[in-house]
Amino acid sequence: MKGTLWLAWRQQRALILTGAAVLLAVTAWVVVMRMDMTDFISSHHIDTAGCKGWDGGCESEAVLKLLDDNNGPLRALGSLSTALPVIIGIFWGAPLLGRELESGTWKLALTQGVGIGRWFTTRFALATACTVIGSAVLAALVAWWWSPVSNMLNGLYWHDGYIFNATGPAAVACALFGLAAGTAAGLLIRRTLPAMAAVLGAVVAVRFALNAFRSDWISPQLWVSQGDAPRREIGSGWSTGEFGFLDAAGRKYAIPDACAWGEGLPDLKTCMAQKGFTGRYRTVFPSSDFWTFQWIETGIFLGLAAVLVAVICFVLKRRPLP
Amino acid sequence: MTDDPTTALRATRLGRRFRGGWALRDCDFALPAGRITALVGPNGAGKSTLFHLATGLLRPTSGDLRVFGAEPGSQAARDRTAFLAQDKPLYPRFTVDETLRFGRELNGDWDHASAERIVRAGNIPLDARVGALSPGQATRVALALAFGKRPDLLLLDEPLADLDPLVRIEAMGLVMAEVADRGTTVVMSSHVLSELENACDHVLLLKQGAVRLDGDTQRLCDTHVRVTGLADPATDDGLPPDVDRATVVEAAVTGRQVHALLRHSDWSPAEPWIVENPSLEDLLLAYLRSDQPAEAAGAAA
Amino acid sequence: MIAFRIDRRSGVATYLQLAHQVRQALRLGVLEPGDRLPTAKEVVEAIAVNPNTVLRAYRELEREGLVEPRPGQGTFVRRSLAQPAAAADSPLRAEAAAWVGRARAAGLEREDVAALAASVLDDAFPLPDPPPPFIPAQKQKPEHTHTQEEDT
Repeated sequence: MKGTLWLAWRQQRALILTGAAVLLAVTAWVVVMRMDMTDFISSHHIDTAGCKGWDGGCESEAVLKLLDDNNGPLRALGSLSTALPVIIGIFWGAPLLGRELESGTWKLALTQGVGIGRWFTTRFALATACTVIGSAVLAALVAWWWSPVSNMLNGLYWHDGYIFNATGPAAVACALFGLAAGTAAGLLIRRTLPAMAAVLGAVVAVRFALNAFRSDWISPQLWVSQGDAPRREIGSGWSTGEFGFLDAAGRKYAIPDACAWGEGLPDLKTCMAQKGFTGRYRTVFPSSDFWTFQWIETGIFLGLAAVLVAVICFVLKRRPLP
Repeated sequence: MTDDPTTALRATRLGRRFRGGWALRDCDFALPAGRITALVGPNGAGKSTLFHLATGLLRPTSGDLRVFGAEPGSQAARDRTAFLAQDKPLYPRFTVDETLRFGRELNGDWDHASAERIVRAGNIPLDARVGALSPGQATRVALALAFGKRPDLLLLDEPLADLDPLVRIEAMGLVMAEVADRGTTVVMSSHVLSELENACDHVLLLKQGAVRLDGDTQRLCDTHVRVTGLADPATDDGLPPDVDRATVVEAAVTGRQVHALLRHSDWSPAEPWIVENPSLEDLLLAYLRSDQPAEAAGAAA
Repeated sequence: MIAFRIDRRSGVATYLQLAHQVRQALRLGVLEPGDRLPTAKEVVEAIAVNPNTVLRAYRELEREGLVEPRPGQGTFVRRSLAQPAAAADSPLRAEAAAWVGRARAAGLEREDVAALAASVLDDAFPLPDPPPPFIPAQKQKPEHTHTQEEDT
């Protein structure tokens, strides 16, 4: 290795080697766990493809055991992948410039023959490459292990945080956002420890906000059942929790207990007729919306990361550094 | 402005303001190439600010500073300048060998052999961690890193602070040997005036962000006189009335005695006065103590 | 070879101290004709003074005809100052020792003897005119010196 790349490698090699070792260990564990899982599926002749949704209609002791055995470890892997952006922001981003500013070594680095542009670009590019590789591998491991038992009965669904935040392009984009946020915090705060705290707060806050507002990005589908026909089952979809009655004009009444039933109450048909309801509805995000949500959040994370990198470049061009 | 090759560092109405006020203001000077300049001044006089401006780590608020005619921080200026910051930053987790490799990888023109020679001459193992070195050894490594760059201008901010007396001579000896070898221009700041006396041949004295003294040390000593005599009770400062007050740098009365430093004076005292040329240290101390030059302050404004 | 040392408190200019130490080494026979003086780099590395100071001392010695620079090789000793008559076992030294012994017997203190010897030396080897106590500085502007005040 030559020039600034050698310096970037020398300063980040502890992180790279530690990260690679952890990733290797996790990969080995996932491979073993998934092999056990597929062995169990084939030895018990479980038709996982035909068993999707809450109402998969395939409840058996074997299937429940399959899910019981894998839910916990899958959640652990999902948590690791979900936490990765924070970990990267704290341990990789915050010291990337923060430690140089804190210890004064930036004066050493910036008075050598190479300019600040190449110095920063190389070290940030190396960190970016490692972030993309690390987060992509973890996201792929989550998807690979989860896919046979996805969206089944009481298993993990695509919209669960353990899955949605832990896989797909949004997980990689979020890791890049974490790196950029950590780097910017280190540069602006000039000290590693407070920068670590700041990036922890920032990434967790953005994640919480996105999880809270996710269902507002796009409109759910309206599933209608006429008369007193049973409502369509949710299956692998993600219910918004909103359901109720429709009248002849198509107006929605989000009053689930408008026609309760029980001792001494009119039956559903009578009640609906009395109140002028002609059907029932619920709103649901079908499982195909996974990718829509993923691309939206990928865009948000990449946009935030781009803004932060622009801020970093702007600040680095100024003198003094803040 | 001409890019005079005999000028290493030229300031023109140079100023730098921080939130707390001006650290340097309206400074004009031209430090000669091939010389060893002492940058002297009390704490907060703007010495470190000047070093940071000269390396491009800071930009001036007003005016202009040039390193061999180039803008500080530009490629041309960076290639010719080496800077040893006050806290002598090094990467504590690097080995000495890696520290020298850092210099090689980040500089186009790098003299690895001489950098390694400087380190070996200090009996510093190349595989030692920089964080485990003594302050003296770390200074030697930092100097090796600076010299390996083959700089034309070497900027040393308090290079001897925190070093024991033996190591101070050793470090200063290294710098002087580099100057003897390559004719490097050196600008160094220090609070220990006696250490500068034998090493420096030019002096730039800053006080409150302004240049108070700038010149060849020998000529400055030759053009100032230290006079001691019987105080004249009729005057405020104890000096006889025929002394041109514009030439008085400082004057102090102790009992019946007056002790003063005069510059460019053609005052020829009557017999009982003791008149001698000041040492550099004496001269610098007088200027550091003196608040008198309202004239100088007026000149700087 | 010769190792230099500097007395920073003596008030004597550093280059004069260096030149004096070379002369002393020549007198004591530590340096002999043909010997090479240390290079400026070697000297300054050891005693941390400005290289020009060393070059100035060598120029002074060269002016006195004691050393000569050989281009590309260094500065070499041309002639010795060693006086056989001043050696430790010379008759002159024995006479001086006997005189000091008599002075002591006469009740003179060390400083009295030194002062007496100095005054005899001054008579025998008159110094050039002593410098006047103060030479007024020239009013003209020196080439390399300028103070802030002069800028106005």
